[in-house]
Amino acid sequence: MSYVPTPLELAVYQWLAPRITGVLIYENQDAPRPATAFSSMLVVDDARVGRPATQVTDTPDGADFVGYGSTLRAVTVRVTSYGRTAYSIIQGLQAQWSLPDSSYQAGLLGLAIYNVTQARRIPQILSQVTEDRWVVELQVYAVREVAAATQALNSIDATVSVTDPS
Amino acid sequence: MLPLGASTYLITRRAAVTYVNGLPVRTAPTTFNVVASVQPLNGQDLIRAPEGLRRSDARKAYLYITDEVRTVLAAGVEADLMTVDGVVYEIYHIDPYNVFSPLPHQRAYLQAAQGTDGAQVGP
Repeated sequence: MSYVPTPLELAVYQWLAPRITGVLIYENQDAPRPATAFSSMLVVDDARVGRPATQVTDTPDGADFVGYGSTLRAVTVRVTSYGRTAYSIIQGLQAQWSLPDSSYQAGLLGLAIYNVTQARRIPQILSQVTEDRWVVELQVYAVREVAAATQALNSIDATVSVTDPS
Repeated sequence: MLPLGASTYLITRRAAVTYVNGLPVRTAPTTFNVVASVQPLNGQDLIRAPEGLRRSDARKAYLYITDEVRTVLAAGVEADLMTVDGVVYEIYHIDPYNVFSPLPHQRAYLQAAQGTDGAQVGP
């Protein structure tokens, strides 16, 4: 079963991958782990912030309108690093996330990264050996837009019916 | 010396997985045949089975040491699959077995292979 990342996951991946030393993969895949140092990412929460906004635009023929619905999302992405270099990988990410260039690159992808949590160590026993793992959570604002063609009304036909109450 | 009740079984060796853009890329598996004696697990075998794998749908196979089947030895590698009576099993453990001397043998433990969707894995 192949894992199909969502557009949001793709955007976060594109931002994260150059800032992670080693291979970055999506979590929960039915495949063996990479042979080299690696980290994984998983969108653990994708919550709507506030009410959805709509935008109405005139189209060239002047009759139709196209409605855009956009929703601000607060997204939490869990990043886990594995192996002996796990801590340095996470430290590297923490050192980079708020740099101006990083923020600019995130903006190009439609993301605004507003926090990275403290790194936590979650070692696991793997084949009778303790494997070092470190995890942080990346908190991101993203906008989800939905465009749907809507038909505006050209005219209103109404039948007037007046009843004399007296 | 042929193990008791030996027959020929198909081994499917999955190629090492590489990752591109965070997603695994698999290449075509290779297959070969081995001669093995496949038997049910006994109680001790079940106790030694990894936690979560103590299901009834498991087997063990005695093979020649020269038949190089493998379990997960390194990252990026998947265990061999062995087809027994149309059911695909994954080899989760191998140890040497020298009771059939003078020819050394190996003993492979098999577990019915399942994908993440619960469906049985094919070769």
